[in-house]
Amino acid sequence: MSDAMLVQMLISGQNDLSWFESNLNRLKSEYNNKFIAFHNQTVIESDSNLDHLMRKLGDKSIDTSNLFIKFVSKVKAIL
Amino acid sequence: MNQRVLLQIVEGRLVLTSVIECQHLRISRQIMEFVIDTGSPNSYLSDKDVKRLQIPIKDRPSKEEVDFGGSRYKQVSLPEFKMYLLKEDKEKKESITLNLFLSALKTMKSSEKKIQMAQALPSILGLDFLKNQKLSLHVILTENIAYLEYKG
Repeated sequence: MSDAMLVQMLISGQNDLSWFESNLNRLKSEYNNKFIAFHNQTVIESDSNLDHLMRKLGDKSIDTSNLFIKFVSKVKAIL
Repeated sequence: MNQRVLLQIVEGRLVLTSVIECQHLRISRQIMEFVIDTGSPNSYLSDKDVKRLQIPIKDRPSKEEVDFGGSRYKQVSLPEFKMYLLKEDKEKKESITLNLFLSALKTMKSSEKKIQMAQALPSILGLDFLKNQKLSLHVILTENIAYLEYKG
């Protein structure tokens, strides 16, 4: 992977997280208590069970190197 | 001259976007988010990200158990990762490379609901990360600005 591709991957990742933050309220309504996989500002797959979500991504041969997986819930988790 | 790496504020947390890889574990470059957690002395790869990266932790040496986010986890030693971050530079987009040591967290819960709660927690970079990488953390929440700074 070239340096330019690496930089593009980082920029794309930052953009995806900005999109997630901007759309959080809508995502909470649509995917409450689910894991979502997203990339390029689009939810690709979702499931309440992480193993099932990983299986769905695998079945579709989706490259997971560029996507984020996050748990969406109306209940806030405290670290 | 001091260089900066920008942090994002996502769900009220300080988030660092990175690309990581680990030759020893045969993990090629993967996009990753880490929460900067100054309340944690150590850095951890979450149960969710262990699954996502398909890290085989069954036979790896484990350390003492830890409580995190209200759940108890087994702590598993991992080999060194390479971490790539984006430098803040409006003219030229460049990455910096760091060597990163993490432990993996494996939930000890068995019920589906509790596993889901444990897997909801993010990977975190604690004070060891800031100290080892000689980074200072700067946060101005009223202006929505957060960044890491290092001597370039």
